[in-house]
Amino acid sequence: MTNRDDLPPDDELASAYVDGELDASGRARVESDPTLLAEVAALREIRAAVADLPTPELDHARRDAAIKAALATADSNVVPFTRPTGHRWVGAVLGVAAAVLLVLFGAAVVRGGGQSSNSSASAPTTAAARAEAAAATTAAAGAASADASATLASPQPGGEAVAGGGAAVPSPLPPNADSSFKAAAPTDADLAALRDAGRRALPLPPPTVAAGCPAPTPGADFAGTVLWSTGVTAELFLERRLSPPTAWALAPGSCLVLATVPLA
Amino acid sequence: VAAARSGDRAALDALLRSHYDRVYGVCRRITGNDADAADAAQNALIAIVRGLPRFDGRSAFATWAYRIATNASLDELRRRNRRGTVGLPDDNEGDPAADDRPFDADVTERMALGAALDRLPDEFRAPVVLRDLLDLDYAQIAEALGIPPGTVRSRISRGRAALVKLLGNQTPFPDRPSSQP
Repeated sequence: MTNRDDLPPDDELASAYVDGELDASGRARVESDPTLLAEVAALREIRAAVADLPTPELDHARRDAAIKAALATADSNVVPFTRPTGHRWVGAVLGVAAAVLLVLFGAAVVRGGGQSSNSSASAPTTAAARAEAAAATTAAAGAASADASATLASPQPGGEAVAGGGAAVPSPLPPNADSSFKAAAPTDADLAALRDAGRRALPLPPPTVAAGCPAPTPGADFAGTVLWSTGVTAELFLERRLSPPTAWALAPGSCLVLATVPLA
Repeated sequence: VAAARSGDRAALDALLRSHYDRVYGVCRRITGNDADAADAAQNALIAIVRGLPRFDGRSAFATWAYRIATNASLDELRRRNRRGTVGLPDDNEGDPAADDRPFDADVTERMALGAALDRLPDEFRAPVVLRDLLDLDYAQIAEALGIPPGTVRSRISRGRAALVKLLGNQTPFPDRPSSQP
């Protein structure tokens, strides 16, 4: 006996039948219904026609460029990186939480200062308070971006202060062989261009919010875009706390790290 | 393939050239337009070169290469969606067969199947192409697209119905009992 509850909706039965994706009861249901069998015949024609579609006309110049770019990959020693996997919302939630906590903490510091001096306390007056306020601003801005990274949970009070304070330098992301499917390989010339662009972009103004991709490391700042010779556009980030300072290229959209080069 | 794997550049060049047409064809059908297909095909070739040392020969090289082309195409679609336009709708949204907007005369009267396929929204075109052109089963398509097999079934069915309609048959499946009042 056929259990109708286990079957796809009627308007999906014929298509699933054509694809051989129905169980015995589903097949029996279709084969007992002349209307569904007529649908099956029509869908088989469509399916055969799609399968027999000719290859669209090729642009030979683009074919040659693609093959050239792929061959250049074989000569490249660039190791692609990818971001650690994880739920994007976790970073966003942590970023928002950090921003709220820092704003509250900063407000408490300011209020405390006002009480002790009994003078105007409408703005932070101590270096620590300014740093906290700057950090809160940074965290809030980062949390508002599309993918706040987990690093926003422990924001640093400004790049220069951190560099001078000897804070722990974040390590580059670990290599991930699986990303090779998605990374567009830069040539040696592209890496040179990335290096030059990075040098020209130094020094950056205080922490910059990334245009499309989250920063690859906690201290990295967005610094514009670079264009590979293969036509791939990458977002340029700079990490000044590494020694030597390092430039990163991320693919817009997927935000995969395409390459990283030292600026020394 | 063996020579290319061993570092023979000429062999690699020949291998890429011999498969480019089909790789591009897969990309073109999945992405639905020339520009995205060219980008996806290039990324696919790069991925093939990078992955070649790990190609174990358990499947035919062509099958492996077309799977990479599929991944590159799907990445391109995701990128395109992120760039701002259309996200994948819920399963019950955006049924192309329910779209009654008028088409241009040349479209309604004689639309080639390829053009009709290009007109399908990404979320319908991709599973249809993966099924009909690459012969993947629903489980494989579900894995590739990151959606449940039931959604694959639904989207393929609706995509094919839309194709029938776009090709000019405004009543693709007459007298279906479930569609009658």
